[in-house]
Amino acid sequence: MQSSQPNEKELIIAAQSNPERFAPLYDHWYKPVFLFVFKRVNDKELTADLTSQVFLKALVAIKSYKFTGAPFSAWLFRIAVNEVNMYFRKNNKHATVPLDENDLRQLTEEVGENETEENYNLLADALNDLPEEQTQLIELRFFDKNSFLDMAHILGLTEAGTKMKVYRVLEKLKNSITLKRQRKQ
Amino acid sequence: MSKYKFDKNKKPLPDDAEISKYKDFGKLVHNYQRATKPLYHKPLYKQPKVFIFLVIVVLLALLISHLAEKEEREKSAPVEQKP
Repeated sequence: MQSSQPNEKELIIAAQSNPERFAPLYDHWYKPVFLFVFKRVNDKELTADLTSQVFLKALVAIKSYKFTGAPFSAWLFRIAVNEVNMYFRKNNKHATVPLDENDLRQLTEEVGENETEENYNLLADALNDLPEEQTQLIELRFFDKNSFLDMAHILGLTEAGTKMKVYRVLEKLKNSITLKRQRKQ
Repeated sequence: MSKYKFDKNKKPLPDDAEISKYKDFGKLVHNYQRATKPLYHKPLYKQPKVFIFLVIVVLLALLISHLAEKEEREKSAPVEQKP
């Protein structure tokens, strides 16, 4: 039996021919994109501005959207990543983003540390020393809980390449924490 | 770039009601139309003020060229010689 609900592909094709028909995609993806941006800027008003820019860019560019097998969300999140990075670069600013145990638990495990407050602080500190591209990998993997495949779609990389990059960053974090601990003692 | 700090008492993420406050598809479509439509809906010469300005510029140009031509003609006219 055929579903009466249009699938994502049909919605995209409809939006490509008429911008007014972008509404179902907007309704469905507004919240995930909003939260994706909020986790990086930690400010509701700024998040709302950046989210509306993301959707405006998506609507302008949807005519040239090609079905490559990657999910539509990956395309949308890639626009969001670029928009947030552009905001920080243009305004030469940074946002202070709080992380709690839930955010850091998995990452702490991955770098082979115990779940203590001291280690959480060291880890947050080590994260701040990473360059933008590497922080992005950690954000996508451990804070947004993406699979390697989804990350690859968002970043325009291969799945294996993404995995390798993430493991390199984890190794770097591990060394950075050890160094920071030694300096403290 | 985001700078991270560990905070045990981190505030929860915005809820659905808060997020919905910012959702406005009408505004998105309006911004889309502004972003994709050309600056001028009418050609410049069809706008009254611009049309009058263009007419004045053309008249001034004609007047200046006419005066310049007249001056030139006077200068180059042959001088009458006495017999």
